[in-house]
Amino acid sequence: MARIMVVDHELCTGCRICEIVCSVKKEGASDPSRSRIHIVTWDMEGIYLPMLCQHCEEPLCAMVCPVNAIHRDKSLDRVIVDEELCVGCRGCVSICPLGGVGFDINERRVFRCDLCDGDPTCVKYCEAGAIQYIDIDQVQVSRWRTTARRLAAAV
Amino acid sequence: MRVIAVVGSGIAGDEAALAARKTDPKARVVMITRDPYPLYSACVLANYVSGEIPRERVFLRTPDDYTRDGIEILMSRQVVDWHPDRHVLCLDDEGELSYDRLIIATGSRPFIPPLPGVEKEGVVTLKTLRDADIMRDVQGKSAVVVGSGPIGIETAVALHRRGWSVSLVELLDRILPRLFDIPLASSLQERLESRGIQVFLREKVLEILGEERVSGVRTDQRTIPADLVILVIGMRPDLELAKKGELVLGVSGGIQVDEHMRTNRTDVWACGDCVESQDMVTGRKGLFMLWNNARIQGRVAGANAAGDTKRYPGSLNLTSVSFFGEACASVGLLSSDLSPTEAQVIHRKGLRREFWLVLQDNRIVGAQALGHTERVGGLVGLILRGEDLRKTIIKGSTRSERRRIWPLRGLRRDLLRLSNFQ
Repeated sequence: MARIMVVDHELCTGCRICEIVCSVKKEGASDPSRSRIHIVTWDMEGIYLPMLCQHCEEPLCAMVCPVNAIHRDKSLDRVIVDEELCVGCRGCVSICPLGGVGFDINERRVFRCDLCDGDPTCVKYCEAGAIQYIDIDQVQVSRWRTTARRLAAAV
Repeated sequence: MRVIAVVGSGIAGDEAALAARKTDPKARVVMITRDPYPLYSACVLANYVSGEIPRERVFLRTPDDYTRDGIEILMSRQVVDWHPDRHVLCLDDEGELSYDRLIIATGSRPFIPPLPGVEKEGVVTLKTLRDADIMRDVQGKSAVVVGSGPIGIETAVALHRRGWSVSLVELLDRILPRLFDIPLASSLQERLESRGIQVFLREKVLEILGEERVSGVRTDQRTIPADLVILVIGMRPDLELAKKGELVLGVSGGIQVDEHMRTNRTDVWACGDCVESQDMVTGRKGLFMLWNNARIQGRVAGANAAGDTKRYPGSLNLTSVSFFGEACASVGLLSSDLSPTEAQVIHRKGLRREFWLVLQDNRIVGAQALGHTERVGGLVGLILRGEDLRKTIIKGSTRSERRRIWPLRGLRRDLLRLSNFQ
């Protein structure tokens, strides 16, 4: 069963633990600038938005890639970069509407969420449950739940 | 069996052939190209010239790939004549190809200005792999790059990396004149100059000097000695075939196509650098010769030629250039495209990064970034929607609204100040 990352912005508390565990897991260092997930914060309003590669069905990053290095890995239904082919032009970084691709200046390579090969670390550490890795079939159910919760809050 | 012919094997032609094959698995798909090799990426030629990547990495396909995908490719072959009424292409080996559907993806050629001395040995351009091979082989130490568009900049940097002394000559008042406003262009220019690339703005090249071989360039200001002169002033659509078939051209000089990439002739589609398209962001018609546009146009043209009814949504002209480890990107209008009274600007400058937002009537119409370019893609949606930012910024405090305007984080105060002035 294909699973996808689902983010519920309402639940994010902005603790940024995901950024730390992601960079530790992927880069071996606590360095949020090299994390695959980013929390965009609007501090005044107390709004926190986790942003990461959405593994789009028709990814713009793959359209702009001049060396066809970006393709879909069907086994995990994710968008991956072939590092052997990538020339580091950063067209994908500039075009992604969600800031889902980062660039490591020292290593001179792009990076993005690879779903930790099917076991996302950030999900395990997200206390608030704002990031979930769930079956595609469950996504709709989860949306209904969210809507129901919002309605309940409004009443 | 239906024959779908594709003329041109660049990314547009390649995608068109694949899309046609996928849409109509029974058709015979024939691709004709004057290139002696399979698909390669013109975008990374400068990386090959500089030595960052080996020659084989420029190629995106092997001849076997075409066989595997069921596409017949005729390499090193030119179309010498076209009889649209009879649906026949005449090839340079005197063969004829009858087609049912034709896709024109002939691309573009560099514009070579009629300067005295352009025919001299050592005057080159950078568009094809052959150009890059020539540039790799030339012996010498000093080069003059004429034109400071993305290709000009990347070529200058590539030769500099190989140890050449490089001068860049630009006719207009800044480098990358179609991508950046003056403050950001000046920052980029400083970065080039600090590495030792000389930049001469507002200079017109009058003559290329030398006997048989080039020895220098004379501008209206000075004489610059050079072993190699690279003319990268701009690209023009290759319309040789289009003219033979009397295809209607648009105002910008590219082949006119409808939203299905169909030309004025029945059974003829066109895609890539040779067509005119509409800018998604500004709505203007023009020639938008970018890799992603060519790719999507190719997919649409190919599928439609094989019977589909796909639509081309318009060109997304987000240009990204990278050199000396830095990336910069631009989308939409420049403030210099607008009158000084219309244009509002937000300029943020940090140590290594710079961000420039162009607004008109409190709506974002363009964005430019040096250094971190992640925000630029996010702004495209905001530009497309054309919403009034006063409302968005002041009222838009729900989470979903904030999510939509995430690239504006940290800019709220600037935006409020700007709209108060209105």
